[in-house]
Amino acid sequence: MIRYLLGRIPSILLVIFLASIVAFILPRLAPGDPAVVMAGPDPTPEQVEAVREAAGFNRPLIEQYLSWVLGLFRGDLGVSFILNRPIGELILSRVESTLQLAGLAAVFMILLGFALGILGGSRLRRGSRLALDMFNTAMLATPPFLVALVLILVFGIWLRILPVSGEVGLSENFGLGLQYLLLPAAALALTQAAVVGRLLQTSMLTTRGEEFIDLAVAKGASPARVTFRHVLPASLDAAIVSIGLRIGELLSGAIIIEAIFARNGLGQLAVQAVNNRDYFLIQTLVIGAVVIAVLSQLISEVVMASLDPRIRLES
Amino acid sequence: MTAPTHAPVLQVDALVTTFTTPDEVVRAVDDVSFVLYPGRILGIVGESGSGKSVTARSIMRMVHAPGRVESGCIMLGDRDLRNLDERAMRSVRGRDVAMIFQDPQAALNPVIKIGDQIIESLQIHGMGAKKAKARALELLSQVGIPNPEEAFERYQHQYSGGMRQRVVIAIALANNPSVLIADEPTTALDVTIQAQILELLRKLRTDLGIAILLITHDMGVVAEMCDDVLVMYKGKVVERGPTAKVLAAPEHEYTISLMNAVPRMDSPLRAPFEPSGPPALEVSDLRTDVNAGQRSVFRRKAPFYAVDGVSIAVHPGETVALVGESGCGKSTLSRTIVGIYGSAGGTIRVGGRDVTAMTPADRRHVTRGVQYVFQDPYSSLNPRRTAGQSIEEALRVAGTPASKIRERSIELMRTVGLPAEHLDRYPYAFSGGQRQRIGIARALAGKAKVLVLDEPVSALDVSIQAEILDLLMRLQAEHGLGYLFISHDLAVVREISHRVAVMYKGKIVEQGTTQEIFEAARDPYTQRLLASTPKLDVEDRP
Repeated sequence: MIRYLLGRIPSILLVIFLASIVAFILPRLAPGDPAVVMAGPDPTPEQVEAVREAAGFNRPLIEQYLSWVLGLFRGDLGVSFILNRPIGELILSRVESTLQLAGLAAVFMILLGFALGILGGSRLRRGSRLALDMFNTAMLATPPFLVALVLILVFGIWLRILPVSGEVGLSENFGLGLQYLLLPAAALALTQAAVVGRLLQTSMLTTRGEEFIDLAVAKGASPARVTFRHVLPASLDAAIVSIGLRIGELLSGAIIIEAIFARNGLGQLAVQAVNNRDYFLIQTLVIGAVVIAVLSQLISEVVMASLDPRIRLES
Repeated sequence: MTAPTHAPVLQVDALVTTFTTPDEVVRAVDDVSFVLYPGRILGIVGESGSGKSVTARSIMRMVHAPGRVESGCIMLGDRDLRNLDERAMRSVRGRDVAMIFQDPQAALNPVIKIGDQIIESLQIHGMGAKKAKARALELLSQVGIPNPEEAFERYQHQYSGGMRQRVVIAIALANNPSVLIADEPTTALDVTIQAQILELLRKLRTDLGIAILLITHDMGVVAEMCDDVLVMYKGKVVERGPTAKVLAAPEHEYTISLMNAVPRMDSPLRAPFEPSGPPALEVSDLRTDVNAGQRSVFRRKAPFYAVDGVSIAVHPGETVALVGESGCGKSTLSRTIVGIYGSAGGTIRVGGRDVTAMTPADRRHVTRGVQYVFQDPYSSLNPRRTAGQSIEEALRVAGTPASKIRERSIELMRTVGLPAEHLDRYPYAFSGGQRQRIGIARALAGKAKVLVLDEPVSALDVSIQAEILDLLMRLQAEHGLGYLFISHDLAVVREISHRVAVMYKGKIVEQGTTQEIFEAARDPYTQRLLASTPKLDVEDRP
């Protein structure tokens, strides 16, 4: 296992290196000039030029890239031009909100995904199968923002039991924070849960056709025992891979959900950064997202190997 | 054979199981009755689709949808299993009636430890955890697994096929069932392993007095194992009686034709072959490293020579059989010859030309001279192409002019005994035997001189097997083809070969004419293979 993880290091470093180049180039390819934004309303060309000089935008690209990357290694993430605050501090102040949102959404995604998958992967009457398939397909086809609006309508406006706007950190007041978190997390998770559920359902139905399931039945095992002890553990691979991939998706989905529920998270910060051509901030956020995606994929591989003795993690 | 003195444990009477499809209702099991006594082995034989496995599943009430037990009674002692509710039936499964399956690799759960799988069958029927563990260890040693303590903690993929089947048997025996249903228990195993498993089943029958219902397509297994036998055909029992009588003097015409189709170890050999020219295919000192090319960043896998210094020659008109058990390297050898694997040493000559380097020109030369026929006629044809498209593609590769392609396709279909209209059919519309004929037609498209036949009849029923063997011999006589015939079935090999090479762990341990190998084998491994092959003679029983 350790050897496997060491073996993965070169490819992980390569991915992060390539991502850093993309993160560096992409904002600079987009139209617009940060110096113009930074120089304030109606700047003269001389003012713009002075700002450009001060921020180092007229240095060669390679030099700018190297100074940024070296800064990252030193733990210096740079300073946001627009907000005029160190980026590390900016991110830290927002990260709790987004992590709580994505974390609870991941929990919802896994629980609901497994519930849907296990139900769909069981033998069902025709009517129940139809109802489940319809629910699942509707969930798959509904984008998170629409789910969000429906949830707001039902729980916030008709039933009036959950807050629909704003946030309270879990560390400040856990109960209240959770109330604020429930709807956005659910909105973010539902579509993804349907994906996980569909994958789990398909592999469980395939596993049911295997001979070792017949052997379990021939032993006298009850249907529940067959499902939970034999079918489910042998059908997890696809679902776990998809959960690993979906974690990244949850982060990107957070941008829209944060806007709808007026949460001050990293998603909102990212939107602001792009609108303002805040190069350093964009770069750092992109790299951060890539690192999280890579890590969650790596974790899902380790989880899979620990659940399935046939997979040995070897370099 | 003494007459049974005990009361029967299982009595099946007028069993009917149907499968309802949109088009029709198929009576897969049609009025089947039999009686099973303790300590006796009853065989059910038949070809695929005869209803023998559905009979077994009907007894366990495990018929897959859309199948349904329609009528009849299944008396276990004084209870009719058909009248039990599902809960009561669950307590019968695994405790009173246990089942073992054809493919132990598929039958064992891949993600649960072997020991836990045995314990499970004990705990389901109410045994405490501690007692169950002791019993599981006892069972593992009873079925002949070395180191039960260690095996207990391992997974099935860490064991060979024979060991896995022993584990499946241990699971079946866990609760001392009175009836054991064995559905093709040795079909997926090598012949020497088959002999061991059959030996184990006989011993359990004698020691435990278990009644065994043995389902098989293999007449040799029937001859070795069964006291009585039922012959099934299209869902019906067409013949029944003591094994010796049914095998030696069958009465029903289906049984007679079946027995005639079975290759026998005492039938006359083919006339000896005298080569009249240079070999069409010659391999000398060939080695294949199957780990070549599997490199990682840090280290290179140690070479593993699946083929290690093999020399063999096939002349036009000659059949050379390559026999050996799974993993001996016979398929690797054939794949190296056609260039799927690269060689690590030695030479390959096709029609006198050295093609060992497998340059593009060499490959074209090999394709023209040597063609491959695969074991599984189901997976070797592309399901989305008609038979005609598959054959036409082979003809185009062989450089047949476009104007001649249709004409040649029809000619090839006739050669392998299929009507020309079948060119426009898709593979699913053909039976296994017909698909194998198409595979042969495709191999003949380029006028190859040598066919590499990789277990060409292993997946087929005996009657179809006999037809394909006849076809191969006819084509050989007509076209002067050389065959490299790879098989694990010695009875088939004996019938079709002029020469035999026995392969073991990558090396050829013995090579000679069919007569030399079958009548005066010198190598101990060859002798063991021959001794393990079931004979059709009941008197010869071990």
